[in-house]
Amino acid sequence: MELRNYSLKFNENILFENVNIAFKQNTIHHILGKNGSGKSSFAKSILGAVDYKGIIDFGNIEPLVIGSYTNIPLEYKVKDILNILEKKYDIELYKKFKISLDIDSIPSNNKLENLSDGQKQKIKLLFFISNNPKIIILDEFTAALDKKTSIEIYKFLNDYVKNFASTIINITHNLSDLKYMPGMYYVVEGHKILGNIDMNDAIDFYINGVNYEE
Amino acid sequence: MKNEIKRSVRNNFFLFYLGIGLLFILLGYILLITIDKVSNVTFSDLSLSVYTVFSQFGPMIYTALIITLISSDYKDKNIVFYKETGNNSVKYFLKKVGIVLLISIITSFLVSSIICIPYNELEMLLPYFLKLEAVLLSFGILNLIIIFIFKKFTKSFFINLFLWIIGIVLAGTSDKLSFLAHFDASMKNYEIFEKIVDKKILNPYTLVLEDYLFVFIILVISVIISYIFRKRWWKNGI
Repeated sequence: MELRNYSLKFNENILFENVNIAFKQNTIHHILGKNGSGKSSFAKSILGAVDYKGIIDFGNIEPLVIGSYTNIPLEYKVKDILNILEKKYDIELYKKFKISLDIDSIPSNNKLENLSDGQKQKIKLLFFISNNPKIIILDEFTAALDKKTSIEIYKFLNDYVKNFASTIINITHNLSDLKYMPGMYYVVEGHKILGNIDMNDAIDFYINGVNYEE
Repeated sequence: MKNEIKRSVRNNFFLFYLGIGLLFILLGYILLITIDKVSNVTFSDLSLSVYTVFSQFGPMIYTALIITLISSDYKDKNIVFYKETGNNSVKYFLKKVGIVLLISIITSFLVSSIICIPYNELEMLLPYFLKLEAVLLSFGILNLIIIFIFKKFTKSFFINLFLWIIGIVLAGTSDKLSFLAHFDASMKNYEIFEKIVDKKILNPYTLVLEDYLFVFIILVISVIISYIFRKRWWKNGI
């Protein structure tokens, strides 16, 4: 996936200006940035819900975005979602994902609204990833998860990116993501996405507000 | 569609819709006794009073319920889920119309039965059902297309209310504009329905074709709008 001369405005605020960046396959790309720097708007622009200028080249692949604005109706029970997935996607792959995410430990007769945040996120991940997407954008996906669930999800995503020739862009405020999912690190600053940054420098940027220049 | 029905049962949409219908019968009856001072309520009195409640209060009270069918999906950000399960804006809209169709059929049938059976007016059961169904469908579809475009519950509710009132006002100024308040009790359509109930017009199906043509035109226009506004649907839900 590649951004070429990518620019994004929200009302009159410039969020990104002439960003040029290529995201390598088989890698998790972590993007850190201050609140309001435009990270979520960037993800929404990938979905086509926010207008942008320039090119986002997906290489004929439909991108998948998983964030707080891509939800499953809470009236559904876990078993309803599993039924939908069994009918819709490659059953072997779906079963494999289901085991990896330990979905069987979630009572299947429960409505989604009665599940914990961690269980909801696992069901959501299973639902969206069963289509075997090759470009995945996670927007604050691990926020509000307990350590155990986070680690299960980290393991799942590490395996997925390695085994399914995919690209994951992880927009996050959760520094554990950087530690448990090795990859490439980026910071959003000065209307740019700055890459080739060491993990510790990215953490420094986030904690101490260290400035970066291209 | 099966999953959509499950949702509407679990979030009590069906229950509330049916409950409002049954309350409207009660209201129709109470208005006859308290305001019209009718001591001996006939079939004609009750059926027309209940019909009037449906056509006058329906656009206010049902609107608040019907728009939640779409506003909750926008608010809870479920539109990407619908797309992933093979829906586009038109299919999504038609599914919601399908839910209103299903529950309005059940409600209309129950209400018609409660009114017609005790009076042994079985030959009026189907015509009365068809009339109520046409009324419920017409504003149900309108409610859905307005929330489809405008996203916000409050905004859509007041736009619906505004259009309903403006429709009545404009329809009152000229016969040519009567389609703007087709089912309103001040219109010619109601006068004919009154005569059907009073058996002054012998064919009880006189209005069926006209009423359903009206509903069909609203549906076609709404489906076209749901296609034109497909990008807006997407943005509204993200």
